[in-house]
Amino acid sequence: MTTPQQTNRWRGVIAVALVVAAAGLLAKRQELLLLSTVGVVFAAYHRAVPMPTPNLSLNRRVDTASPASGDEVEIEVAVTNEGDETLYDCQIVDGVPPALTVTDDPARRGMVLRPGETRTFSYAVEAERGRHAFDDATAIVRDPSGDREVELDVRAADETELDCTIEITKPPRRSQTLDTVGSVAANGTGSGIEFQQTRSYRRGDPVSQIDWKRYAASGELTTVDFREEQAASILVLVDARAIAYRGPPGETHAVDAGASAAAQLTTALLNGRNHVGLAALSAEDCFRAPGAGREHRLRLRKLLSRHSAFAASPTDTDDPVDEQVESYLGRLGEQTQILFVSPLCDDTAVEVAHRFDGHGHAVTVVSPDATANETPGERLAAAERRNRLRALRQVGIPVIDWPLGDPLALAIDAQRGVRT
Amino acid sequence: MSAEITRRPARLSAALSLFAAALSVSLVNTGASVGTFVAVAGLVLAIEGAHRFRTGQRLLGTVGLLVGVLVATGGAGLAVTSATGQSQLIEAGLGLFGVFCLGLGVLPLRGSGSRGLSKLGCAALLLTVVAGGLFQTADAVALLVACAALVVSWDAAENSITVGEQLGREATTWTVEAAHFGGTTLVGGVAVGAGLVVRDLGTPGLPLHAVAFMLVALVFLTLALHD
Repeated sequence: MTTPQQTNRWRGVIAVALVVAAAGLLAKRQELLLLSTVGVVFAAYHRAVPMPTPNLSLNRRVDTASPASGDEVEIEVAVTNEGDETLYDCQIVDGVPPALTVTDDPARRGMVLRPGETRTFSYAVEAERGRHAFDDATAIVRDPSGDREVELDVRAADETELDCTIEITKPPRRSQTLDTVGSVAANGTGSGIEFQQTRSYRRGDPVSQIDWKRYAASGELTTVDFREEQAASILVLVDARAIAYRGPPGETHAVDAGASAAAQLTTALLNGRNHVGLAALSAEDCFRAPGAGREHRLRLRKLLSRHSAFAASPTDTDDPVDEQVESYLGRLGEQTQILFVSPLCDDTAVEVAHRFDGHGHAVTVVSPDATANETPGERLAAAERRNRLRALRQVGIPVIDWPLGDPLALAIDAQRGVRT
Repeated sequence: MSAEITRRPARLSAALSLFAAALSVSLVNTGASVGTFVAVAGLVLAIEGAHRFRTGQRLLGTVGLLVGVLVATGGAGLAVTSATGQSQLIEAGLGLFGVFCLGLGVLPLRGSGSRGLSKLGCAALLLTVVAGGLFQTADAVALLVACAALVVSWDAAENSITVGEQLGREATTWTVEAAHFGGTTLVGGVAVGAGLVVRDLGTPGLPLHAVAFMLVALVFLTLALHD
C-alpha cells in the first residue's frame, strides 16, 4: 500500500470552530468569535502540510548468522531515508521471523529521518531450531500533522536468514537407488571405493580391478569388487494441512518444525549427492520434482521460506488431500522414495503414508512430536499418535519420532540405533 | 511469536497532553491553576499506581494509588474552594472533569487508551474555555492561548494513543513524539498570533450581527465552492 490514507484525525475541527463562533455571535462575545481563528488555523495546517513520499532502504545485520538453539542473537537494523524530504514521523516495525521471540528491546522504533540520514536500532531474539527468514519491515510514515499516513513494506538490501540447524550427517533413506553416484550403499558390487570382496577373475572384468600384487605373488588372476554407491531420488513431503498447525502452547507448531526439518533434510540429502524434491500437503499445491545441483538447492530453499504452504498460520480453505496425493503420485518417478514429515495428528496422515507405500515408493516418516501431556485431552492425542506410529511400523514403514526439544539429527541417530 | 507488546499510550505525548490541558484550564480560571496542576499530578500518580498494582508490583502500586488519590482529591478540593462565584465554580468543575477524563483516556487502567474518553475530556475543556469567554473571567489573549493549548493537548492525546497502538510502550518513540508535538505547538503559536491580528483588525463600530451574516455567507460560499 503506497497511497496515503486519511487518518481523519482533524475531521470536525472546522465544525467545532463554527459552533464556537456561533456561540460567540449569539452571546455577542467578541472573544469567543476570535477563538474560531484557532480552529481555522489548525484546519489549514493539516490541509497545507505536504505528505512526504517515503523512499526508505533498510539494512539488517545479525551478529551470528548460525547460532545454537536458545542463543540470544542481536539484530541491528539501519534505516536510511533515500528520498529528499524529511520524514517527521516514521515508525519502523521489523519483520521478525514468526517463530522467534524478541527477548531484548522491541523490534520497533519511531524516528525522524532527514534526507540521506541513517538511523539504527537493535534488538535481540532467542534463536529457535530451524532456518528462519526475516520478513520485510513495515514502515508507517505520517505527515507532521498526522492527517495522512502511508504504510509500506521495506525490503532489506540483502536477505537475512538465521540458520539454527545442526547438520545432519546421515539423513534417513531406504536402500532403493538410482543408477547415479551417490552415498546410498547399493547391494550390488561394482566400481565404488569401498572394498567388498575378492573373487576369481572372470572374462571381461576391468583391468584396473585385477589384484596385480596377488598375480605377481601367486600367478592367480583375481578381481577386487568394490561396493557400488548410488544416489537415491527422494521427495520430502511436508504435512502442512491446517490440522498439522498443532503444538504445545507458546511453542513452535508442527508445520514450522516440519518446514525446518525439511530444510535440514533437503540440505543433508543434497550434500549426499541425492536427487531431492519437495512437496507439501496443504491448501495450495506445492511441488518441486526431485533434482540436484546448486540452483535446485536454492529453489528448494526459497520454496521453504516463501511458499504459502509453510506460512506461520493456516489458511481457512479445506485441504484437498486425496487429489493432491493423486497428483503427486502421477508426477513422481517410479523409484522415488518419500520422506514424509508429519506430526501424525490424524489418520489421514497414516493413509497418505500407506498410499505412497502401496504405489511402490519406499516411505520413511519423520514425525515431529507436537503433543503435550497436561490435560486428559492432550494425553489422549498423544496416545492416538503413538498408536499411529505403531501402525506404521507394523507395515514396515520406518518412523522417526522427533521430540521437538531435541535436534533432528539426534532423533535420526536414535532411530538408527533402534534398527541396528 | 514475538515478545509481549505493551500497547499503552506513549508516555511523553500523554504527559504533554495532560500538561497542556492543565495549562488551558488554569489560563481560563487563574484562581484554580495550582489546584488543577496538583490534581493532574495526583491523577497521574494514582493511575500509575493502579497499573503497577495490576501488573504485580502490589506494594508500590498500593502506595502510589493511595498517595495519588489523596493528592488528586486535595488538588481538586483546592481548585473548587478557590473559586469565587458561580461562574468560576462551573469552570473549575468542567475543567477538572475534562482533565480527569483526558487522564483516564491517555493513561488507561487497562487496554490501549481510549479515544472516546480523551475526546470527552477535550469537549469538557472546550466548554470550560467557552464558559471563560461567556462569563468573561479571562481576557481574549488568555482565551486564545487556552484554546490553542487545548487543541495541542487533544492532538498529543491522539498521537500518544496512535503511537502506543502501533509501536507499544517499550519502543523508543520520543523523537517522533517530540517532532509531532513541536509542529502542533508551533501552529498553535501561529493560531494565537492570527487571533491577535484578527482582533486588532476588528472595527469596534461594526455591529456583530453584520459579522454573523457575513460569516454565514462565507460558509455557504465555501460549501458551494467545495462541490
